[in-house]
Amino acid sequence: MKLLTHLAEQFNKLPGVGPKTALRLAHHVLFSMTPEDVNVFAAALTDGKRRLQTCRTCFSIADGDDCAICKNPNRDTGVILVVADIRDLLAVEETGMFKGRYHVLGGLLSPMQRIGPDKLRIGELRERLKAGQVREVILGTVPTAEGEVTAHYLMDKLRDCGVKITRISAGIPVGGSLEYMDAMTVTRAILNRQDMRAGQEQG
Amino acid sequence: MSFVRLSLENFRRFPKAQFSFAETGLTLILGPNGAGKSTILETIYLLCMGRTPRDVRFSSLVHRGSTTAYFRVEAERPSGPGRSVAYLNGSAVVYHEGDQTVRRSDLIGKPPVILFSADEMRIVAGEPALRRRMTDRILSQERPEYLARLKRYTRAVEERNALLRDDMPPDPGSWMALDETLAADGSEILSARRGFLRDVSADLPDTLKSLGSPHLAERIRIEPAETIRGEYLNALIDARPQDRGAGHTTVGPHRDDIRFWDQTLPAAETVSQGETRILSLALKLIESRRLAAVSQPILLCDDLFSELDGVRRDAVTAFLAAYPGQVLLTSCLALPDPLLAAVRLTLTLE
Repeated sequence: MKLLTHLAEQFNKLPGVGPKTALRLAHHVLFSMTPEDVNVFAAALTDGKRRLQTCRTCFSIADGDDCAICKNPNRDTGVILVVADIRDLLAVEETGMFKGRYHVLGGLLSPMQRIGPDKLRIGELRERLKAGQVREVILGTVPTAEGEVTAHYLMDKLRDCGVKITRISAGIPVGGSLEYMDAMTVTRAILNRQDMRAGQEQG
Repeated sequence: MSFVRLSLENFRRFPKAQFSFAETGLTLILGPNGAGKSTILETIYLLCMGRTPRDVRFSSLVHRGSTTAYFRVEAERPSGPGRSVAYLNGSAVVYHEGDQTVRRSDLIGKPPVILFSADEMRIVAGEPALRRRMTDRILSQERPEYLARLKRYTRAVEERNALLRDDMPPDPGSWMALDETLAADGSEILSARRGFLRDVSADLPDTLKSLGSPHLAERIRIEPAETIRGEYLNALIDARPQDRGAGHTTVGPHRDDIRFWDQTLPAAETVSQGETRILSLALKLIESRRLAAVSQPILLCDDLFSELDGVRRDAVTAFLAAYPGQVLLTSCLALPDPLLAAVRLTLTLE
């Protein structure tokens, strides 16, 4: 019994896993998975944690000192997309449309969660901009209260770096219908509308 | 849009119950005190607004005799999503429209709902939060982006308060970024409220006259309380020392108020109980006309007539009898004949 509850307690520490789900997962590991599968699973956990490294430039996940994106010579070094964490980076990478590089802040400013500017990699971002190759910084933080605060903060701190600063726009998702969209999204989509000819030239 | 059949399970005084309403026009809900008349209105309010009129804890809505901490309410909707459901899950309520789970913020205003109740009649003399809630409720039902901004603004105020309460002096850059974020949403909210107040001021005299109170129409004015001078961002920056001392944000839409003036004096100090009711009623009529421009609101009238004298009864009767949308009216006393003539369906509770 102790074996089961001890394992369940470990699963319970994961985000989004409550006590009931934790017990189900622990039961599955002990009674349904083969010893080989459990070994692979356990090794993935311990190896993953032991070998985890962050890129010295952009602070994404890396195998060595540099991540695959920063090592890739085909990525544009002139554009940096600033994101809160690696999950946001992965979401953008999945689209395959962004050819620049990233900067992972490590969170969003939140006095409630005691995350101040010193907890985020803002000094490191300034260093990258001072190195001189960067033309544009895109602020890719989400339009929540914390995301907006962080964007305002960065705008101020990067102003003297002499690069163009832009903000990702919010709008209608592809295939979305205006009729079912919440009004704030529709409003932002109209405010952030684009010149169609300019869009063609860029593309 | 309307609700035609309501099923309650484990809700308030009902272990299990079903009620039917007329799709449009007047449904009369009769019964003695404590029979559950207001509960029926409360349920419709919950399905439309995602909270109860008095903002009670959801767990207190569970039927007292129940062994489970669970309730479920469901209403049939002939047009729109087919049905609306709300049920208690832990300490939160989950909402469904048709077969889809919806967020609370997506419920609001679809359809809009207006409650006439004794609580709502305290708007003139009651605390400022009542008046802010009235404005926010109307603007949120009218324009979802107002609600979204208000939510983001509220969150940003909490973040700023956390910064103010920190033992360490606030980092100047974070403070400025927070103030800019508050100012961006806050200015939009303030300007929407000012516009709303201008419209209400313009409508008020005629509405009061239609309620048989021309003398009030001459005397009463509504104005925003000037809590913020100039640009909101500057006001926030000016308030920093006092905010740091207080440990919370002292200026902004969350502290805003509306003032009712009786010529040169605050109306709260001069108008009678009866006049307060007439003013509140006038505001409700303006609310219903205003929301009707977006979508015909459902009117929930909780024991409305016990609060009104003869002239006002006639005016309200005329308004309700001619109302094109759905009206649910509770009463424990005899109603005027012209109103009874307009009743499409009567529910009698025991």
